[in-house]
Amino acid sequence: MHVSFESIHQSYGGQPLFRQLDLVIPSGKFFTLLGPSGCGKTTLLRMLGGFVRPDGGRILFGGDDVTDVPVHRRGVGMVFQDYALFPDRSVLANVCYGLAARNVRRAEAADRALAMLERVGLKAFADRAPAALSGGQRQRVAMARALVIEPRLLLLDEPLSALDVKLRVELRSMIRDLQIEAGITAVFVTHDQEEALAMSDLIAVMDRGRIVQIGSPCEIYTRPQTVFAADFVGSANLIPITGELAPGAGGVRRLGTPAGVILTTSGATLRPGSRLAIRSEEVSLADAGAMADGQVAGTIEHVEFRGSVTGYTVGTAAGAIRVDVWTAQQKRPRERGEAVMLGMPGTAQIVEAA
Amino acid sequence: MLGRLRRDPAWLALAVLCIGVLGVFLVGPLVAMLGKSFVDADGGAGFGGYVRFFSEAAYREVFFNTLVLGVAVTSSSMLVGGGLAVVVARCRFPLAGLVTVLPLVTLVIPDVVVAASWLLILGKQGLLNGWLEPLGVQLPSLYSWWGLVYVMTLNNYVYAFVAVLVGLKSMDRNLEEAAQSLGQPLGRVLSGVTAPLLLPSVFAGALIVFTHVIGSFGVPAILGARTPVLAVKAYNEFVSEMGGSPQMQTTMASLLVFLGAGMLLVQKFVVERRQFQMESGRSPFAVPIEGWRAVAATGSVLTVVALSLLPAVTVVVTAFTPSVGPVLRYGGFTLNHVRYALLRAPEPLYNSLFLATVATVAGLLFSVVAAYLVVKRRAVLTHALDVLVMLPLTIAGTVLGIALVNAFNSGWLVLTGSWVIMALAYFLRRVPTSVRAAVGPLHNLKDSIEEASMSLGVSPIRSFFQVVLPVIGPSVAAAAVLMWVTTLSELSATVVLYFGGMNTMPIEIFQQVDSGRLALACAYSVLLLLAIFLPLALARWIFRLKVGTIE
Repeated sequence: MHVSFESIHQSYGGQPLFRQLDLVIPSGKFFTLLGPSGCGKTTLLRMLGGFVRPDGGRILFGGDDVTDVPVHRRGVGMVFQDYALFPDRSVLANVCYGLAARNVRRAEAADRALAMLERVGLKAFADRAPAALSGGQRQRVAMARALVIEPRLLLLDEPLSALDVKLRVELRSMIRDLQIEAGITAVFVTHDQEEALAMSDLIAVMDRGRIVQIGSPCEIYTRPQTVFAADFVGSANLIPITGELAPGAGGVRRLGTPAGVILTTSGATLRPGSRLAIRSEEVSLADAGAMADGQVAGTIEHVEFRGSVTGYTVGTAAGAIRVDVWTAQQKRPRERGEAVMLGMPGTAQIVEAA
Repeated sequence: MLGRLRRDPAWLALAVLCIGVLGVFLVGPLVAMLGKSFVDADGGAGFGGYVRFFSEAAYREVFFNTLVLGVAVTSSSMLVGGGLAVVVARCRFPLAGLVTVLPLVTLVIPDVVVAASWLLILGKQGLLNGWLEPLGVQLPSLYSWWGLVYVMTLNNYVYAFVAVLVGLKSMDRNLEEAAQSLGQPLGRVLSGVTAPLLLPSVFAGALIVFTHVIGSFGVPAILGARTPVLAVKAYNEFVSEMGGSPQMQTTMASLLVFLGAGMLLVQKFVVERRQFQMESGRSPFAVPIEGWRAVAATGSVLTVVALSLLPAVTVVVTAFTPSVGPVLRYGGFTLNHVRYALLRAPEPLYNSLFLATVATVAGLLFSVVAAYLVVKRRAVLTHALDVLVMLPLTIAGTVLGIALVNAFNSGWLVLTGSWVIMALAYFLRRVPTSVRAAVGPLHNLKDSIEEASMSLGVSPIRSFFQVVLPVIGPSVAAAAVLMWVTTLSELSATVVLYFGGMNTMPIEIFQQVDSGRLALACAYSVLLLLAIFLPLALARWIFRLKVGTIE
């Protein structure tokens, strides 16, 4: 079932959050709303759940207008950041809760709930109280509880952010598997770009109540369209552009920056405030020498050894540029204060301001 | 205006209903009473009542008596209760743990019983005077300032004790340690860091005591013949149908309302503003003390506990003591008084149990709904409800009684002279405490629990019953027990509202004391103590509810 927002208006205390927001979430996709806190992603999710009524506009499930349908008649499964398990009920009773509300016979409900618990690997914990489970286990119960009612739509409100890193990685693949198996549309809210990239079919990057870019994780990462998207997803290096020079050999575009000429294959139009976005792992690091197009001279200001990758911050005439190098692939570790030459990739993207 | 109520017609209707109930039965009568105090004898509007009140020495004295009593009892209660709290919270010594029974003791022994028992011990024909007589010594009369202050301090110090103790326990140990690590000696730390942080708790406790004292009826009515106070004088004016003027009666009741409202404003705008948010869970260590200090500390704890328990012992003993007229023959044993109270004239017991049950059931339903609306459905409407439910805190029982009688003795709804008006008064008086009891756990209950239930297909109202109620159940049950037992000992509103055939236990005790039949008063007191103690004990030790504990 596809889901759409149609010209949504919403204000909080006189401050407009959404103006004419339109968004279609295609059927069966894992769709992520990604953005910093206060960008409106949770509000959109809660509108789908029926917890927030938009001031204006419509919400459609398939072709049906559900704007005025109350929460309990929407048939959505929701997973909350704080699990929201009923503390006075056993794990099994938690999972059966939604089935009882649908008048499923008790025996059948228990069978279905147990099958779901088995799927999330918690059948042995059916009789426990939620308080006796770890955070990861609780969130798996919450998933089972949301999915066992076979919802039309699965809503995930930062379900992983209360968990530690290792569990998070484990659980995100489980959530993705469950969603694919059930074949349902899922809307996921997060401020964690890594999570978004790892789990989603499609990502909508949000900034202050606007959707700045929608695309596959790969598109969002490799072809960000705005400074905000480039910075928020993977924190790209953003280099100011001073002007466009005559194209080089093979029609490659040559852009002037305070630190020299950078080449790009990007077709985007240059606008006031546009910048070049360059991923830190795409910049190469070489010994200082004569400068050519696509090269920037600088001095290492900071070294950060992170295991598989070594991060350098290099001071240049265009500001600090971050460079990530595979530790195993560099000939020797470089030191603070060393003069270096940066090789800028032709994949540099022209991104719009704001 | 409607905020989160917009999508919930059912809760919206309940919010309107709650506000309506309080509007009709609380605000309406109060406003009408305040209005009446501004109606002069000739029927025109004016300040005649207030002018007369402050120009006649007899009335003026009543006002100043009330204030003096309030200040005196508050100071002594802070000294006893606050001092005890400081010693217990910061020092470790034998038997310090005994203080945990104090709130329970105060709950179980109603004011009027305390007053009656101290009459037995310290009164003119009391036990102590009997023992001192051969020595030619006589105690000063209990019917005096010191008697009033003494008995009322014993009735009120617990509020000061609990307020200061809670303040001390919520103090962050790190603050003192930080101050010491910065080079301050401990004495300077306590006076410079700890004391200022404790001040809001001290003020809060003092305000509670003061509000209690100026509104209390039982003790001043029994002991204060020579020192009339507002609550008692308003009552006397109310009952003396010939000489009493409706304007003076409402004027005095209104003055009490203004005093109470003033205290509430001070609490809201002076004390609450100065309260500090503290990292919890790391209260300062109690320091072990030894030698004469430990003896003094243990001694003072034992003294306070003994003085608090003594009334219970006295009434139990006296209830089984033979009497000839007003003269008690201690050492003898008789079941006559108890038999009379239990078999010959048990109506007060039944009346009290009936009224308390009705008021508690109504109060329970109301406060769960009101607390839920206030916490989980924030809107202008529910904010108004929040303010309204706290209003009875500022209103003395006698005042509420007078307001209700004035409002419902004629007109569209006549309640005067029926048990309904008594149950109504009990319900209104206990609403603030029960709403507060339900608000606590609701604050801790995350919204998402309820949202999860709704998203699983359960309607908002059913979600409340299935998910919210089980979680807040224990606290609400504890509040219900508390409401039931405190209602059993209510006197100040009852004394205005009761009518022939609807005597309650405290009324019966009050009247028996008034007519000098102390043994019979004690027999009824014992029944009342049991009626309060048994459900409390059941709730606390069988059902493990937190009733009469220091939270």
